[in-house]
Amino acid sequence: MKWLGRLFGSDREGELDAELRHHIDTQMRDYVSQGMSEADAKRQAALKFGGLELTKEECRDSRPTRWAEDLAQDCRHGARQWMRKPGFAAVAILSLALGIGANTAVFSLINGMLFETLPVANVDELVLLTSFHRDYRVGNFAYPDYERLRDRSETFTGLLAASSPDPVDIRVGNATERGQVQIVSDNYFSVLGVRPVWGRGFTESDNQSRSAVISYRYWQRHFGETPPIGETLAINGTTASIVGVAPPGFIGESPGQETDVWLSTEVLAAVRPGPSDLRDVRFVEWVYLIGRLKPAVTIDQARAESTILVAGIHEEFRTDQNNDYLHHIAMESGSRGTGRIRDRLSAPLLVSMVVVALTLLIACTNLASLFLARAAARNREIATRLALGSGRLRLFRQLLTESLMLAIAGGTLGLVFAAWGGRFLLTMLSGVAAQPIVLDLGPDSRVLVFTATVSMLTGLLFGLAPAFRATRQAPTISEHSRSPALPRTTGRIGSSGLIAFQLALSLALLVVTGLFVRTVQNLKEVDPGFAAEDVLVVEVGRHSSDREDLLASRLMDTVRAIPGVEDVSVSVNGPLGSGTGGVLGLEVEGYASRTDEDRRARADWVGPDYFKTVGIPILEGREFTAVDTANTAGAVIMNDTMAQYYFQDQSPIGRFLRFNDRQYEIVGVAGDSAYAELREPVPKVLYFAFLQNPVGIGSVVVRSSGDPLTVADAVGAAIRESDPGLGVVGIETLSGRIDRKLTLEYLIADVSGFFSVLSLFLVSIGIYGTVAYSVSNRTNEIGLRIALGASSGSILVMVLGKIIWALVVGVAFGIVTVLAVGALVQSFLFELSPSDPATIGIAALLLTGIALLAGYLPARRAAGIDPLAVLRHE
Amino acid sequence: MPKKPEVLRGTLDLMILQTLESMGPLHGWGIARRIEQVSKDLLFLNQGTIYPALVRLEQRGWIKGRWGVSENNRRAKFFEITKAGRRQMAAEADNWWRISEVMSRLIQKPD
Repeated sequence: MKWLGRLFGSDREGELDAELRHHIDTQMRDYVSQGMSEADAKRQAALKFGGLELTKEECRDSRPTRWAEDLAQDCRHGARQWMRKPGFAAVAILSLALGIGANTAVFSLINGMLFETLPVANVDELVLLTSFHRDYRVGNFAYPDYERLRDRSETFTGLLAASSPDPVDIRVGNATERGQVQIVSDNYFSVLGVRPVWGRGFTESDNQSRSAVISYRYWQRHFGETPPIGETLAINGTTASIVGVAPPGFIGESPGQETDVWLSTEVLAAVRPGPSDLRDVRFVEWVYLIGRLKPAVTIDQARAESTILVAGIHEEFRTDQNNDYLHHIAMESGSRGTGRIRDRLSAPLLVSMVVVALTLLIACTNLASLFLARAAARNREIATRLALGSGRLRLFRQLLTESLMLAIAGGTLGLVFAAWGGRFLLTMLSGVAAQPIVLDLGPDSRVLVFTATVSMLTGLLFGLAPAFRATRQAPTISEHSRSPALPRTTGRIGSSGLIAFQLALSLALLVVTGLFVRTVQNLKEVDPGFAAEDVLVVEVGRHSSDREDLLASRLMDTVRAIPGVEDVSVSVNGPLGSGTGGVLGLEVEGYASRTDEDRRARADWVGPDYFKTVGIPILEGREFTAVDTANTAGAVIMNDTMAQYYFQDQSPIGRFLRFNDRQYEIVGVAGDSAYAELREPVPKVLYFAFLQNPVGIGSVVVRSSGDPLTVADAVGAAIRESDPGLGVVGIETLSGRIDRKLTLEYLIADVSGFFSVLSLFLVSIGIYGTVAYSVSNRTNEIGLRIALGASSGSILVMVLGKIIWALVVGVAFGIVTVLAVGALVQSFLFELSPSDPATIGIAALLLTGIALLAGYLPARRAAGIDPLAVLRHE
Repeated sequence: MPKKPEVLRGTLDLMILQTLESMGPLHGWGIARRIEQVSKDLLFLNQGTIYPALVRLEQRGWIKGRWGVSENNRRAKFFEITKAGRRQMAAEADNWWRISEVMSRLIQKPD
């Protein structure tokens, strides 16, 4: 460690100097003693010694700590350079901070959502199970199936079941607050390996009692420091007692979603109402499964075992495996938990990542041309240093260090921007997912490594070319003192090439933005199939009621009485609802079913006057009315697509179909309407009469005579009045819901739009700067030409020649790139091809216009140069 | 004056070690002077070139440097050979005799 001390402590330079000077002095004294004059002796001694500075340099080279001293010196030198030109440095650091910060923000979200593993022990043993109906991904499971898989598996030490988090009203003491709850199996905490910090997790005994485990944050919010064991909380009227508190840091097994309360399955009946206990029936799938593998068991073995278990289940229930939701089980690593949020948002995040990466690339290229120009201005300084004997490599390293210092400063500042940007982006994404997304955005090691790497690469990217160029020159000092000569043709091609590159990237960004914007427009123009104006949709929370049909009738009567309300009805999914309702195992009379598709359809359960309320036309037959009750014959309505599918040109009215061992008469055909997503083609939809199959009200739809929001409060109050258990989860107009469905597309268009504008700005600055610089360098030449009679037009062409060339090349390359990689964004587009010529054409024109304008402004000054002033200056 | 050939680096190190071994501790100028005398001024030597060599040798632990007072009462850095240095010398001595034969053929007085 001695060298460390020598590095920081002693006065090495002073000592070296003293040592060498002593030598020269002694030699001088020797010559004098031989009879030389003092002046001669001094000169001869110096000659005999050789170059003093050179020797010092060689001594320094021999030292082992050389690289560290060099680095320290380079950093000091770099800092001095930037102090001298603070504006330049500030601009560079700021643009770097923005670029690197944006990349870091997006990456931290990707990190939290795609890479982070659950905060539990031995995550690699966890396996995520997904149900599949042939090649159709269902996802969750029915509870009886879960129980059999759990009990019969030899490959898992444990298999847990959990519902997806639901927002419900929770009452603690006297306060009622919205919270997220999950129904979980008794082994939920033990399989995951989560140890409660107070009390205990669930055990088998909890299957018969109503127990709850609350999250740490929830505990702190509502109980402060008091242990809450034994306290009760009420959910929609049902009480559960708290048996434990989860440790801090655990908020559920689904990244991005935060659970406040976990409930035992006994609470299920209260929280999820229905005619049957969801733990006993196979026809509702509602639990997600995660298993923990036994030691030394592989996921392949578990997968193989599952095929046997599934076959066993179908044998036991005598169900047809080929027509069941549980055809086979797919298994993948469960270390990242269930991917509900991840699946939804990974696409927009990846698009954002590409967009910000492109923008950073443009910013780097911009900085590179700036640095190239600046390096040219430092020609004299560099030539001098080369002449004095500084090694080329040394100089190169030093110039590069200057760039890297800027990049690191930019990266550090970028981390600050990223913190803010990440939170902002998360808020936007929460809007897309229609629920609050909870992610820990604190910079962990992966994010920091990412930022450091990006900063380094950025620094190299914009620093390499200028450093290389600067040190390649011959060490001659040009005598043109005023305007240092730009390196000749190679220099010109270099900076034009950079501009062409930026233009190509900008074009790509512009085209992408154009495609997304037009996709949004196309989606907005889709006819949803209903009359969305003046319709209010009220989402109702889970509740308990024995006579759901009576409740529904009472509710509709109450709401209809409100002034301003024209029509009201109820449904389970609702118009453009969450869309998870479907039926399997249909048999349409007179139609020989051959494939799965023949027996499958989307479904909804709707009350009387539903179609009138929402504005879907009835093409044939009739609506449901108060007549369609449990006592009358089963009635169903098909949408047009379904009627076409089974009956082509014939009328389905009066025909029958069978579902779930019941026979239904087709009483009407409704017009097609968008089912869950606007961009999906309209599926076959089968409507059941709610009063005949009162499964549990999902939403109440209201048509008002005026602005729907004016009756919103009254409707909400009426709903709560009808049944104390009924909670209002959300109120929105149908037009608002349509807009909300497009939030994802809006978000992508906004993000790429923002960065397109930013990159246009950067490119314009780059072009403006390059042309302005070129003009100031060639002032003499221009003045001469004007004096010789050149027109302003030809001057413009001469000055802009480079830019025009760059523009042509850049746009051409940009178009080629867009055509080549267009297929990647195909899935985001709607009724639009990624090589849409109109979009590409407009983008190219826009870019050309802006680029020419940016170049024209400084070029105009060139044409206005006074030749006399120039000649006088010479 | 005929052009003097340059000193090979390896031999410079060895010459410094030999000088210190036979003369005892010397400062930089003393070492340079002695080498000139021994090689009878035939070797081309920018006196300054011994200093990087001294740094190298000290780094390898073959010589040790110490600040002291010179004969004209000035502060100067003195070097002396170490045990490791002596060992190195013995090892290189063989090489040197072989090379020196070649070198002596190169260093020829002009006819």
